[in-house]
Formats: sequence, structure tokens, C-alpha cells
Amino acid sequence: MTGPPLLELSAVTKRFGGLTAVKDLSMSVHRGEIVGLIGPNGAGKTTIFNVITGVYRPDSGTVTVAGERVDGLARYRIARRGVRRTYQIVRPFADMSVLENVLVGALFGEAQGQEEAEHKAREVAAFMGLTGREDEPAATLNLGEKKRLEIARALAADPQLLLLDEALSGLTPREIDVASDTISRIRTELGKTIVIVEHVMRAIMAISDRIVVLHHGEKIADGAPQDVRRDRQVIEAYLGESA
Amino acid sequence: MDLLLVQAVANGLLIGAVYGLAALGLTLIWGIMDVVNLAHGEFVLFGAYLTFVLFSQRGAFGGINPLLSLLLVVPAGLVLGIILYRLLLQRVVGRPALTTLLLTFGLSILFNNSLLNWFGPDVRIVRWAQGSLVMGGVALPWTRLIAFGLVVLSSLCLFAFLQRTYGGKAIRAVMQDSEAAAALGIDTQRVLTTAFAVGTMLAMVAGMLVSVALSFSPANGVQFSVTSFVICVVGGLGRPLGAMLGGLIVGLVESFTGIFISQAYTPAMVSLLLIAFLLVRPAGLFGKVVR
Amino acid sequence: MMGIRRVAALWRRPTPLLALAVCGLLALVPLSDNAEWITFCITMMNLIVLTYSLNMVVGLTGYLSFGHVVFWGLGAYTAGAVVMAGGGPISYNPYWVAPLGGIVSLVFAGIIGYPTMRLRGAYFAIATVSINIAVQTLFFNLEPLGGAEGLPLNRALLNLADRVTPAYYVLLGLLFLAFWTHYGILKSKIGYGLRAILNDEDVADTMGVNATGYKVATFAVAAFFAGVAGSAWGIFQNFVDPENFRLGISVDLFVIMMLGGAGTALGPLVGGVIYYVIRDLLILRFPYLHLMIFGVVILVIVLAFPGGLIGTLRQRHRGLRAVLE
Repeated sequence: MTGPPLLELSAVTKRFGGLTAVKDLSMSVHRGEIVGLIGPNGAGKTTIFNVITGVYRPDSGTVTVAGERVDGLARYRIARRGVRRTYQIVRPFADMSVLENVLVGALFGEAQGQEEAEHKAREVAAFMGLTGREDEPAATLNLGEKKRLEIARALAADPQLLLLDEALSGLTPREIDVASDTISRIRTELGKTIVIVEHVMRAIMAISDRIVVLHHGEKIADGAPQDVRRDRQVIEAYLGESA
Repeated sequence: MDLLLVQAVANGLLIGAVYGLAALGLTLIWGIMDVVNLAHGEFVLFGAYLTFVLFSQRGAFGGINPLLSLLLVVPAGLVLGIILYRLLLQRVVGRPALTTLLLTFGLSILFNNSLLNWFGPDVRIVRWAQGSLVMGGVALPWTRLIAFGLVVLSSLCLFAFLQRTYGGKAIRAVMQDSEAAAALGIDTQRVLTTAFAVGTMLAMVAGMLVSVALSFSPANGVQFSVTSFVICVVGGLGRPLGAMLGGLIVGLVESFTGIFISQAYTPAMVSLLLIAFLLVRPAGLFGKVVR
Repeated sequence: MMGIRRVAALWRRPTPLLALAVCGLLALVPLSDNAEWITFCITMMNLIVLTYSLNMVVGLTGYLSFGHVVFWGLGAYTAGAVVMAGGGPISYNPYWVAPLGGIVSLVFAGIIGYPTMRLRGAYFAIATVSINIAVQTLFFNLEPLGGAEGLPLNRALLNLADRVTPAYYVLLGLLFLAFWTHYGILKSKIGYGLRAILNDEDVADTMGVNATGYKVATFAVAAFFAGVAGSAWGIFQNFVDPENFRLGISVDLFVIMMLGGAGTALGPLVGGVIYYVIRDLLILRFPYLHLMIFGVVILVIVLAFPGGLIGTLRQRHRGLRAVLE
């Protein structure tokens, strides 16, 4: 957790018509960190992911990845800087097989050449527990498997920064435990930096180094999980529910 | 010069009304079931040829006044629409856009070449109500005036249908939100069938007007389709008012191009109008801007 | 371009060998000196190349290029304009101009591709039809290039002894190249990128695939083939006219493509041969009936056999999958 931040948002604001989804947000993520992003529905979490990945352009403020500004760049260019994400509602490439899905991720990532990409794809598929389902059409997987596929597809590109958007929603308690463990391993074994948006409180509190709390588009807390838990503002805004 | 301008405006409005009626059918279908009917131009031709046949027949059932032939054209349009929807389109609604486009494309080829096979490539016209009303130096052909009147009448009927009858309101409901409509107990399949039938019928009625006000041949099929599409884009999908207005606009563009530049350039100008709208305001004049 | 060596190594697979075999057979036809067969094959190969061109766009990007014939026409007129530019008989072989027609079409496709490929489904389709009509109208009124009457090329081609044989081999070579390009794309990184775009363009973009760039580039490459074929055809016919932009030709292309199987590498070849043979059998007896039949064929394919001939065979007989791609 040392050195310059891998991801830095500086005073980012995003408006949609009259609604300010993200207001003057500043946060940073250092290499090797797992940062959890929580907040009530509508707090602006997915919007932030969309701003980072270039789906939206911030109305003001900057987004920096590995020291270079990325706000305003085309989506695919930002992706090529080593940023990958998964989606809240899974979006596999339905007409392609599991392996082909992951292969796309690998081909358009750091792998050099088709052979290396194929190798990488199988490797990542194994890591995510998808070996054996490789040739099945992606559409036939169950939700848990599709979520793993989403992550595999992103991982296969060997990104610097991995953004996970509610990767645990809809999973059974046991699946949640396995998934949390996998996410931790992605950091420890593969050395990835992760920002994770989640509603499953116990999981995100357990695996994150740091928690950032959003409310109505503004950051109201940023610190270690145990501190954030006890923060009065956070409790008022949000933690009436527990997962 | 002034007179030429007035003549251009008059021509444009009169023929634009007919275009608008044809487009009305297309915008209804496109707006409610997101199906772009590439065979639309052929429906217009069906109406034209039906009127022509009734008019040109010799003998006891021949020489029928085009206005009277509406008695046959309207039900024929409704029946054709119902049959086509139930038999073919119902199967592809919901499938990717490619599928429905290719389906109606196939229909267009089948219908157009059937007409070619049956009637040959000759250009036809129904010579009825010849002559023009001359007002202040401007010539207004009787056929086009009558057509204009019929378009106004049809539009009023359609608006009344959409606003005041259960069937019409159901159509508007499904167009806005088909799931909510279904949840309210509306039989969406029936509504879609009705919409497609009405759309087809409107196209055929427009065809009847085309047969008296313009000349036609199977080669015009594509042209009617493209013109109707342009109007739908200009007016906004599923917007009857937009279709009428769009029709008038296209009519004016055609007439002005024809009089002040050259008749040969009309297709290009209409194409440019379409491309301009697609680039600048694809939702059309009355459409909702998405995203 | 990454992976060219890898693609070249694929030639030993069944599908390319099949295509090679067919092309080999076609290469022998001119040796027979049978003018009827030669003309038959030239016309058929022209259609097949055009279908490959369309197939690249529809099959690989999912965009319905209904006005695709515009690229063929532009190729024809490019050839016509260039050879006639001298004012008199040319001393070089006019078929050298053919690639130029391809480039003109490629550039045109690149220009219209960016704005139009932002449009989805039906809008794109109609836009291409509109563009086709607009371009046709333009050439219809362009007197220096013959206007409505068209432009005869005899003045320029006086010195050309044999117009037929070069046309034959240009089209044959083009056909083989088109097949290879399509097949190569399918097997390469580009193919995966395009499939990803087809499935979910937004996701593909955030995965590093330059969606717009890929789509437009495919469109442009496809247009190149149509343009070269158009140039070759124009010279072969000794004549170019606005009928080279006839929308009805696009209809033929769609029928062939769907018959063979849109998106497949062998589809245009197989579909083209079948279509052309049937058409030749029917057209003499029933002038419009064959087109009515093809309308029904499209309906049947859309409703029952969306994969066309190749696609359906692949579906029903898993063993054939490696052979028929």
C-alpha cells in the first residue's frame, strides 16, 4: 500500500439533468489494496464505476490511472490502460462458449498473440473454477457460474485494476463465502488491485482493507472497516440493515 | 416567381398528405411492435392495383368509382393485415431485429414480384376525376384535392379511433408500455393484430389515393417504402401527428426540388433529408429522445 | 497484422481445402473455350464476390447493408472514369485499374461508416438504401460520365484484345481472396472482437475492443471487394451505367447469403452456385416467378432455417462442423 495511487478520483462530479449522482468525490486506491465501496441504493456507486471506465464523462474533476488522466478517453482506451470491470447484472457473451468468453478477455488484454491468450484463458478459467464447463454456451450457466465467468473474463486481460460491481448479489451464503475467498486470492495470489461495490455487508467488511461510504453521491466516510462501522454518520445513513 | 412558389407549396401539401397517410400505417406498426415493415410499399401497391382493377374492369362489376372501391379496399387491408400477422409476424415479434427485417424483406420480394408477374412492369394510372381547380393562377388537380380531403377524413377517423374507442386506447397503452398493459388485462396479442391490420389498411387506402393522384408500377414499391420510412423518422415513431406532418414536409421537399432544381434530383433530396435527421435528431420531430 | 502466419497455417483445414477445390475447378473452365460456360461463371463469380462482401458486413457485424450495391457501382464507375480519362485508347491493360475501384469504395465506406454505424438495426438499413439511391441519382445526372444513358468504354478499350479471360481470373482471384479474408477474420482476434461486439457492444468496448473502429474497418474491407468486382465487371461489360446501382441486385445478394448461411465462410460460395444455377434454369421460362420463389425462400429460411444451408448442416450434423465453416 505504498507509492503513488493506482487509481485517483479528484473532485469528480457527475450530473444527469437535475440530479447530481456524484458530487465532488475524491478518493484514491493504492496498488494491492482491496477497497470496498458501499452506500444505500442510488448513492452513486455504479455511476462511479461508469465514470472510471469511461461510460460517462465527469462534468468536473479528474480520473487518473497509474499516473495518467483517463477521464474523457474512449472506453476501449481506458480499458487498454489496464482497467476491467464486471457488471451488476451479468452480461456474458451469450452466443459464445465459456472459454470463448474468457478468451476475448485474454485476447484484448496483456497476452501477446493467440497462443498465449488461449493459455491465459484456460489458466484463468481454472482459477475461477470453470474448467469442465469450458465448451458450454455461456447462456446455459447458472447465476453463480455466470458471475465467476464475468470475473474470469476481466481477469484474463491481466488488468492492473479490477472493478467488481455487486459480484456477490444473488448468491447463496455458501457461494458468497467461496466468492469472497476467491476475491481475496485474486489480490494475494495474482497481485491485483480491486475496488468492490457490494451490499453484502459481512463479506465486504471482511475482505476490504478500506471502506469508502457514499451517500447521495458524496463521500461520508473513508477508512478501515472497523472504524467505518462505528462512524455515526454512516450508521445514520445506512447501516440500519445488515446482510 | 411568387406564383411558382405558391404552386410548389400547393403541390407539396397535396401530395404530402397522401404520403403522410401511407406513413401513418407504418408508424403505427413500427411504434407498437418495433417491426419495420419492409413490405410496406407493396401494401400501398396492393391498394393501388385493387382500385385499378375495379376501375378498369369491363362488364357488370367493372368501372367502379375509386371512392366506392374503398368499400373493398378497407376490409381487404384489414383482412390481409390480420392474416399476415397471425401467420408470419407473430412468430418473429420479440426475436432480434435482424429476423423481422429479413422476414418483411422476404415478403416484399414475394409481393413485388407477384405484382410484376400478374400485372407486368407497365406504369398504371386510374383516370378518374380529371382536370384541375384553378384558384388565383394556381392549378389544383381534382384528384389530389379529393385525395387530400380523404386523408383529412381518414386521419380524423384514426384519431377518433385511437382516442375514443377501447381498441384505440388499448393500442396506445401497449405502445407506451406493453407489460403494464398486459398487467391491466389487455390482450396484447389481439392489440398487436389490430394495430398491424389497421396499419396495413391505411397503407392500402393510401394506395387507392396514389392510383388516382399519381401513377404507379411495381417499381415504385421500394420508393413508397423508403418515403414512408423517411416520414416516420422525421415525424417520430408511433406518432400519428408526426407522420402527417412528416408527410407534408417530404411532400414539400419533393415539390420544391422538382420545380426549382429538377425532377431527377428528388430521390437524392429525400435521402439527404433522411440522413440529416438520422444524424441530428433520430427521434424525429415528435419522438422521445432516448438517452 | 497479428496472426497472419497462424491463419496461413490453416490452409490445410477442410474448409479452405473445399474452397480451394471449387476454385480449382473454376480455374479450368476458360480452358474449355466454351463462351457460354465462361460467361456463366464470370457472372456467377461476380455475384459470389459481392455476396462475400455483404456477408462480411451482415455476418460479422450484424448490420444489414441493404444498399450494399453502391460499392459495386462505385467500382464500376471508377474504372469507367479512369480508362476514359485519357480521351482515347489506352495502352495498358485496364484490369490494372480494378484495385483502384476497390480503394474508392473502401474510402467511401469508411466515410459513411462512422456516422451510419452509430445507428441501430432498421435505421442503418434504411440509411444505406438512401445513400444508394442518392448516389445513383447523382450518377444518373452526371453527364460527363454518361448520365442516364451510361458510359460505353469502347473508345478506351480498343487495344484490348481479350476482355474476357483477365476478367475471369481477376474475379476468381478475388473470390478466393474474399473467402480467405472472411475465413481469416473468423479465426483471428478480429473475429473474436467482432463476435463480442455482436453480442454486447458496450461490454466489448469496456474490454478493450475498439468497437466503432472494428465495425467501420470491416465495412470498409468488405466494400473493397465489392469495388474491385465492380471495376472488373465494368471493364468486362465495356459499359457502365446507373443500373450498376440497382437496388434489386442487393436482393439477389441477400438471397444468396441467407441461402448459404450468413456469417459462414463457405455460405456465399455454396449459396451462390445453387442460386445461380436455379436462377438460370427458371429465368428463361418464368421471368418473375424465380424472384417470387426466392421471396418465399427467404421467408422459409428466416422462419425455419436461420443458419441457411451451411448453418443448418452444422447444427444437425455435429461431425460436419469442422468441414463446413
